[in-house]
Amino acid sequence: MPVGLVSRRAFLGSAGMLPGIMLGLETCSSERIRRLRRQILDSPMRVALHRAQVFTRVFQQQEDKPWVLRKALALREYFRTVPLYLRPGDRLAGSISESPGSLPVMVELGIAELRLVEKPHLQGYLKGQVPPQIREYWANRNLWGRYRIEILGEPPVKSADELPEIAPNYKLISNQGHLSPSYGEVLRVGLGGLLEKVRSRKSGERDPDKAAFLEAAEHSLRGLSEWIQRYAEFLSGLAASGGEPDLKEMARIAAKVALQPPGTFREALQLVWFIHQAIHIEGHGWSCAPDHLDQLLLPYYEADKKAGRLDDAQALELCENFVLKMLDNTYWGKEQLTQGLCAGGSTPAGDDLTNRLSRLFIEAATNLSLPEPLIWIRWHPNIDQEFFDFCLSRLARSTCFPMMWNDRAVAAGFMELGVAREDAYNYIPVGCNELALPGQAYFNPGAHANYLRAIELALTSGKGYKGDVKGPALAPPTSALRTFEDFAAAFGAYLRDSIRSSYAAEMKLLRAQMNWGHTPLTSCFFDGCVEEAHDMVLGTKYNILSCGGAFFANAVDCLAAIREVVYEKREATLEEIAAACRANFRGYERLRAKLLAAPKHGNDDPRLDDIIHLVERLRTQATEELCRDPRGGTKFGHVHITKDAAVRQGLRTPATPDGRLAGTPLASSVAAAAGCERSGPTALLNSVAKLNAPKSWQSGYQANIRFQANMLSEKRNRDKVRALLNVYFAKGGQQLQINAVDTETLRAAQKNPEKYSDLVVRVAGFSAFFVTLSPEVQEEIISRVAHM
Amino acid sequence: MTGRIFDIQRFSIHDGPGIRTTVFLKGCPLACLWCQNPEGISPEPQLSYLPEKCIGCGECVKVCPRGALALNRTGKAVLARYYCQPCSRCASVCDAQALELVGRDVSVTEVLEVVLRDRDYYAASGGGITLSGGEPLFQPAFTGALLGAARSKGLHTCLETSGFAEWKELENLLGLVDLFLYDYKETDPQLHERFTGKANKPILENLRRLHERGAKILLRCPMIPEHNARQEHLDGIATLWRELPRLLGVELLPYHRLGRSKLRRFGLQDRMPESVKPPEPETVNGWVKYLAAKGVRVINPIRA
Repeated sequence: MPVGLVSRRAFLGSAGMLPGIMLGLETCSSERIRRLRRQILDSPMRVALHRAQVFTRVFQQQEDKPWVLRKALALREYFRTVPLYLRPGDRLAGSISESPGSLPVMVELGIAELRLVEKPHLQGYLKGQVPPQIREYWANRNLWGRYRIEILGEPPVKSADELPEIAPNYKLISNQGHLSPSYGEVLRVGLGGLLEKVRSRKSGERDPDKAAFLEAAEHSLRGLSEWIQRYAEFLSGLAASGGEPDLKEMARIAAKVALQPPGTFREALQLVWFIHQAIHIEGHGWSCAPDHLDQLLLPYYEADKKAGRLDDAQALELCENFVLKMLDNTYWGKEQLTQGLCAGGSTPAGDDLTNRLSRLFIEAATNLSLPEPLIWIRWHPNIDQEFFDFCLSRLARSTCFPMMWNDRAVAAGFMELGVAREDAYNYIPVGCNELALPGQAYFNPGAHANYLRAIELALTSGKGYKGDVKGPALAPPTSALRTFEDFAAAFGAYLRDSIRSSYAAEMKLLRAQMNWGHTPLTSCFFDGCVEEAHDMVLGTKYNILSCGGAFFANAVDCLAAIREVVYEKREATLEEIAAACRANFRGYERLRAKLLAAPKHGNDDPRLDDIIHLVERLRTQATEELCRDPRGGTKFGHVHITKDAAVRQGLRTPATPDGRLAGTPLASSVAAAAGCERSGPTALLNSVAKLNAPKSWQSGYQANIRFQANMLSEKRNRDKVRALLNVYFAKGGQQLQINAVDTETLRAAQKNPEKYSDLVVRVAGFSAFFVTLSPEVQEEIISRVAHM
Repeated sequence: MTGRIFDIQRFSIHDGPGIRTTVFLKGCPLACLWCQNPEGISPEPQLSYLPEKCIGCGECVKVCPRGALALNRTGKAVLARYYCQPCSRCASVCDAQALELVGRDVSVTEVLEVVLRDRDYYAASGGGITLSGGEPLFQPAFTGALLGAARSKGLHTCLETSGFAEWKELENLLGLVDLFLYDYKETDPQLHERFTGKANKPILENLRRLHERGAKILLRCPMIPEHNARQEHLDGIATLWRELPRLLGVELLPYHRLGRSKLRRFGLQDRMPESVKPPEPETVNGWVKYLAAKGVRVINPIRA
């Protein structure tokens, strides 16, 4: 586009014509919820030690027992002893630790912090918090320690102080997470029914491993039930000492669901919450989604309404309470868990599953204006358009929720991996942009394709810009790459090597998880684990590991620029491009300009179509040849991981042949590299739809688009956005997330953070309060182009 | 058949119904003081220069046949427009795209190829193609050919026009345009000439004839404070509305200054006084209500 054009449309969107600022002003349904929300948000982040103490003690006492059983015994002891509390006004009981806002430490996995990239001011939260005797006991004994010693072959550390304060991988300080347990069965039969199932399966089991797992499952379920029963007593104690009148009802519900199946909406919601919370206490710390609640809870909701026990206002308040509980789930501190809540979807036959509860959950979640949990809907061709419009209208106020998946593209991807059609259509998003099947498959990265590094190596005869790569060259030297096809083949060889080596490393981590990462409680909510008597980490109905990879858009742009500048226009050599990247383009300004002028992904440019498919193919082929799940040999899926990496990795990544300068942000989604989308939303979405989601992105990708808030707040604009999205998904777009906020608002928030503390923005795979983000991340968000 | 355009904008959502692609044709017989696409006025290609994008390579200086370019002390190219007669030599060597020639000759096929990339979006939203400018009637043959080609692909067509043209040019398009977005800029003939450089008589005559012939017309009225944003003009709009009962509606386009940033790129002068400010939402609401009270169907929403 030659110049920034101002069409007549700008008359309408001009200064002074924008509607009031739509910054996540919370609109809670009641004063009680508003106060509860405030309380949770204002809780300081602290470390809770009860879990660490109990797990240390029990593991010490039970050293002769199998790991899975030690874990279950410790968990049960925790449930029996953890001090209970209830926040004032909370109508759902069950907390992750013994005191409000405090996060537990999963000592049997690893003792270290999660890296908080966007919130560096919170880093250091664990320093000096865990007593030395606990740290020393675990230093060589927990999952991380045994992984180092028994799998990597490293010598034991002499002191826990030798260990890093920030974990190199979340898998070393938590269980895998990225899962959605299945709750249909427990809602039908209650925890008592599940216990009965485990007990009867256990009787007569001769295999010691299986018997140990079943015993562990039984202890875990018993512990959970005992914990709930303790809540019943605790709550009736509170009620007796003159607390709110509702406490009695809460006590009754807890006493009931401790073993029995729920009979009402509220009982069902409370039971689900207890389990969701318990799964975090067991150790799954990241990206847990509590099954399809709008589907599972509908019969209870309808029965209650029919019986006159519940009206929509009460249901909405309960849903809001549930959402707040998710925010209060401080495994790694607030807003860190990427828990998800998903609504709507279709049956395998294409029938719409959207119901009244889908809408209530979306309404509740967007009323509260929170970065956590993530709120999703599932688009499909028969989606109730009124519901879809409602969801889009909520985006204007919540600024980023709900986000969307396309049933057809996602189900096709799962089927490509061998999943049965009816299971594939039951998929659920977990985490930033990963996909799972409730109770049947969870997400776990098993390899990584490093596109940009592969380009660097192809450009430098395998030596790297700094010349520090020691490995053998895997492709002909750069000077011998006479055609673009030669270059692409060299790129492919290095890409393949990055997949090979990361696969080897990830399989070691998987072995550690398989040896010391059991979660017998969570396993009870995965199909077949009890029946076959093994932990979920040893296999679920479908084992789907994934090959990750980030910055796809930069990779496409780099290859396109190299093809145009080196092979088509012959204006530079590969060596010059390598030298320019090494020098961060100092002295190579003209070359940089030429690279920047080459076609860029995100603009619906047909010249990039073959490159998109080339990168997909090189990666997919390599994964298929190299990677298999060790638990049954199934194929890998593929995922585009972004999370926090666009800015963080950008800071560490040298200049790239697409003209990007060193240290600047990389692409935050598959849609376009930072600052490269120039042709509007239709072009952007057409570009994304060119990706082959079912074949190449089965485990999920992430596409971002930003709109000014009035595109979603005004019905006539919103109708156009809705049409835009309907077409995008019909074309095969797999996922989309929208940020609806004006640049002026973001700038104002930078200037007056205190006034904008509630402003939630989508960062990459997750959301956050804008003012809590680091300045670099704030700038990156502002630089994304806003469409009208 | 080729025509000269200065842009194609996809996802246009305020120039006709649904999601549209707007093609901006270069050249306009009018020169409204408040014009927000000033590069659309001249029919000739124009050189756009953005010094902040200049990387100081000096290539443009070497190729300029008229010595209109030089590097200054900070290493940036300086363009002396007085000497420049836009060719495309400097722009073609400017890798940084600081210098660009705006206004290119394109074929109907070429334009249609881009327009058709979004046809699914038009179908889903009731959108299509809009021809704007500049003034599309300034290139009547190309406009007709492009509209005809779009029609043959089943696209909904809009024509954004000032209506300043020979009647026969408009008449030729009657069967090719689904919706006319017809500008009405000023009721007072003298003021119209002062604001736009041309008389409003032929514009009004064409409007009446189009109306007579049953064309679908949305009247679009730029509202410029201290200029046409006066009661007399609002009354003029209301009168026109009464006289032409088949008009679909009236849309007010409040003044904005987003186009001013473009003036500098083209070395153009801002002809609007600094004192003229975009109207407040309440002011616009006032106009909308005033017209509505007179029975005019104004399509602008009332804004907070």
